[in-house]
Amino acid sequence: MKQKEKKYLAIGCGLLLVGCLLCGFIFGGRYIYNKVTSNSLSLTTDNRIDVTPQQVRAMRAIGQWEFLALTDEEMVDTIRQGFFFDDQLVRIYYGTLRLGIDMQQLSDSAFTSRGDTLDVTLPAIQLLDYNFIDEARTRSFISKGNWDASDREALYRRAKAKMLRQCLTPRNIRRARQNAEEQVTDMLRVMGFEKVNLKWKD
Amino acid sequence: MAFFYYLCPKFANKMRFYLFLLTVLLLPVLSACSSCDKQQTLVDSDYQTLLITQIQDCSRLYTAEYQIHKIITHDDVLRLQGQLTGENYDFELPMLGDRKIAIPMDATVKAYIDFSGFSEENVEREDDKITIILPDPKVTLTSSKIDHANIKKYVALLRSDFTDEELSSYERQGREAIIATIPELGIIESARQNAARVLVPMIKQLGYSERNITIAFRQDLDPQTVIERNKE
Repeated sequence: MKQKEKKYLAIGCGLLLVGCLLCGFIFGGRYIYNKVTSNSLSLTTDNRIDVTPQQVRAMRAIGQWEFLALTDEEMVDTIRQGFFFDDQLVRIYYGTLRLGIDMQQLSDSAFTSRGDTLDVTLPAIQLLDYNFIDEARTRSFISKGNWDASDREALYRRAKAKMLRQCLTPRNIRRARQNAEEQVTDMLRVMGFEKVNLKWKD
Repeated sequence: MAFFYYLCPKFANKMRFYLFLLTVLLLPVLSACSSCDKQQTLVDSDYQTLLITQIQDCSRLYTAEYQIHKIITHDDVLRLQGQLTGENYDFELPMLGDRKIAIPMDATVKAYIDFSGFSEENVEREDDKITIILPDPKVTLTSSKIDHANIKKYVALLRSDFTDEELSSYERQGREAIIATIPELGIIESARQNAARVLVPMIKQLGYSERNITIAFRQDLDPQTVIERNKE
């Protein structure tokens, strides 16, 4: 009888020990798991540029009267066909073409009064600045493979040509001219000239 | 290869597949052939064109122009950051190498007077004297150009080259840095003086004597409010 009791006691102690070990494993494992999962390591870089000075290369007085601004976005791309895979570069360029008159081309007899009428002869509407692309605003859309300076320069030239083709149209020049006529006439009227006869030097 | 693509475009995909199979079989031979790169062709595809044009009627007299040159630099050091057993770590990894880049760029900044709201309130006439009160000048960055040919960079052996996206990001930051320094350039004062130089000869032609013409501006101008930014 006593031997039976001893046997049950041993089994009970064994079960208790296994239970304790199991609990230890569970809680210990959970502790280690928590420690490991709270760990994080990553490789990072600082993407900000350095603070550098800038230099004013030139400053000049201009007299450009803008009457129409055409803001344009052009997506241009180039593909280099490879043996297995093609390389592709797609960039989005931004530019603003400004149409108006160059006041330096205004002749000495541009404004002549004839009784109560003011005759005005304005120089032709033109693109005020051929550097109209804001290349630093350019967005890279797709870039696969290696591309060098000449490729990016070629894309810039193509974007410029496309913008000129798109914006420097007879229709837009007409619209700029029409707006110029309205604006100049209004301004001269404000300055006291009721009758303004406006002509273009073409 | 390119010649065949141009010759029979309909079969280009099929041909590419067969060529792929053939090349896999001949890979050891081809890998030794470095002249394969020379067979690559550059194709400009004009079919993918996105055009967004915004047209705006305006009346702006640009009177001053500044050409600005800036060298954008970026030193790209790899850092190991994170948390290990409750401790925060952050240290440089010079052994993996760094990357450096210098991007020269030129920008054009112009100042203008906006005449779109010009009215009787801007003109005071008394006998043979005329005073024009001009609106506040505004400044805008009209163009920028990256000098791609003179970009200098160093990329360590274990680092990847700068991507086109990274280059664009540095260039945009350089542009913002130029815009941030506009109030220090003194372009507002130049714009005012030059506006008088442009307008006085014009008003003289209208019959006013030079000494009877006054061009006036508002004095309490905040330089930060004159910068015109592009809408992104």
